Amino acid sequence: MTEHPEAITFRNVRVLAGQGQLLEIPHLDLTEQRISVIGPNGGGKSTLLQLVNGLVEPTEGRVSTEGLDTVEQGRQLRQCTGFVFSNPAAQLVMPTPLEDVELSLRRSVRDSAQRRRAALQTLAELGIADLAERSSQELSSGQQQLVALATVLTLRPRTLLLDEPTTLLDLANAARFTQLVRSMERKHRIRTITATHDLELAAAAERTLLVAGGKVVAEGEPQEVIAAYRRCSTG
Amino acid sequence: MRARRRPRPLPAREQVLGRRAPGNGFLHRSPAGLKVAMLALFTALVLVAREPVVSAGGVVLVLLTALAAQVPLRMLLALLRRLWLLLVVLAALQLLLNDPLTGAEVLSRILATLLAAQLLILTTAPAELVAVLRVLLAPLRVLGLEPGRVALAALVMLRSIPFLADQFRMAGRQAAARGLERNLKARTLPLLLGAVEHARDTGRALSARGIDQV
Repeated sequence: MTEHPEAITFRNVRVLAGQGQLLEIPHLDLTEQRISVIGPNGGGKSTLLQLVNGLVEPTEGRVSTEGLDTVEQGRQLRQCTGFVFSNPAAQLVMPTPLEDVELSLRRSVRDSAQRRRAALQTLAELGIADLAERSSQELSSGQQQLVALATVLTLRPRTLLLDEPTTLLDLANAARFTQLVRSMERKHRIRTITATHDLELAAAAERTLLVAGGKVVAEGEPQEVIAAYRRCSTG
Repeated sequence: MRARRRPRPLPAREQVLGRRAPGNGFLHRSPAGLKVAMLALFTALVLVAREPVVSAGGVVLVLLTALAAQVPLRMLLALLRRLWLLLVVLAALQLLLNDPLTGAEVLSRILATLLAAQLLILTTAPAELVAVLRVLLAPLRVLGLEPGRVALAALVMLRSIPFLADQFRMAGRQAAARGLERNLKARTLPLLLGAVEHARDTGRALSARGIDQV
C-alpha cells in the first residue's frame, strides 16, 4: 500500500455470497488512468467495480483506493469516487435534472443559490444545459445517462467507475457519452475504470482486465487481453 | 367490406410530479407552505361537512380558483382520465348501497379533494413540496427519525409510480406476445421482479452518490 499512494490495491481479496464465491483477487495494483474490464456476464466485473468504492465489501482481504480502506473509510471514499450504472432510469430520483445534480451537491455546497449555479455549470460543461428543467422521466435513455454522469461529475471525483455505461444506449448516444468521459478525464485528471461488452471501447484503455468465473484470468495490453477473451469465448 | 376496428391508441405516460402548469398565476407565486395549509383546511372542511352543497361548491371553487390562477382546466381534469375506472366503480357502489343524493355527495366530496390536491401539485415545484414535507416531518426527530430520509423515501416512491406503470404495460405486452394475455402470473410476476430490481438499482445508485436524505 505504501508503494503507490494513488493506486487502487487489492490484497488477498475474496468476496463470498453465502457458500458461493463471487470474486477472488489475490494481488492487484491499478495505477493507470484509463482501465477497462471485460468478461462474460456474471463473471465478476460488476463486483470488481463495486469493490473499488466499497459498495461491495470484501469478505476477506483488503481493498484500498488512494490510500483509503473501502470498509473503514467507505463513505469518505465514495465522496471522491463517482459511479455510473447501466440502468439510466434508476439513477435519477428528482423530478428534473437540475434538482438531481443539486441533490449531489447538498452536502458540499450549503448555499442554495450557489448550489444552483454549480449544478447549472456542470450541466453546461457537459453540453446538456437545455435539459436542466425538463422532466427526468421524459428524457430518453441517452439523455438520462448523460444526466447521471452529471450528477456524479459535479462532485469532481478523482476516480470514475462506469459499469456498462453504454450498454443500453444507441450508437450516437454511446459515442457522445464516451467522448464526454474522455474530455472530463483529461480536463480534471480523473481515473476511469470501465466495465463493458463494447470491445472497441475496452481497447481504448491503457490496461484491460479480463474477469471470468470470479477471477482476473488475464490482464495487460488491451489488444492481447481482448484477443484472449475472443479465444476463450468462441472456443 | 366491414370497416376495420380503430387501432388502439397508445396511452400517455403516467406522471405524478414534475408536470407543472405553465404560466405564473397567483397560485404559482404563493408560498408552498401556505398552499399546503389551505389544501388541508379545505379538505378537512369538505370531509367534515358531508353536505352535498358544500362538496359540489368545493368542486366549483377549485375550478374557479384554477381559472383565476391561469391553470389550464385540461391539465387539472387530466386527473379524471387517470381515475375514471375507480370513480365509475365508486358511483356504481353508491347507487347500489345508497340513495342517489348521498352517492352524488360522496363522489363530489372525493372529486373536490382530489382536484384541490392536483391543483397544488400543478402550481408548486416538487422541491418546494419536499421542503414543506421536511418541515411537517420535523417533529419525528423526537422518535429518532430523520425527516430528510422520510422525504427522500417519499420522493423515490412518487418517482417509481410512473416506472411501475410502464413496467405493468410492458409486462402486459410481453405476456401478449407469448399468447398469455389472460395469464395473471405472466402479467404480474415480471412486474414484481422488475420492481425489486428497480428498487435495488435505485438504492445502489443513491448509496454510490452518498445520498441518504433530501
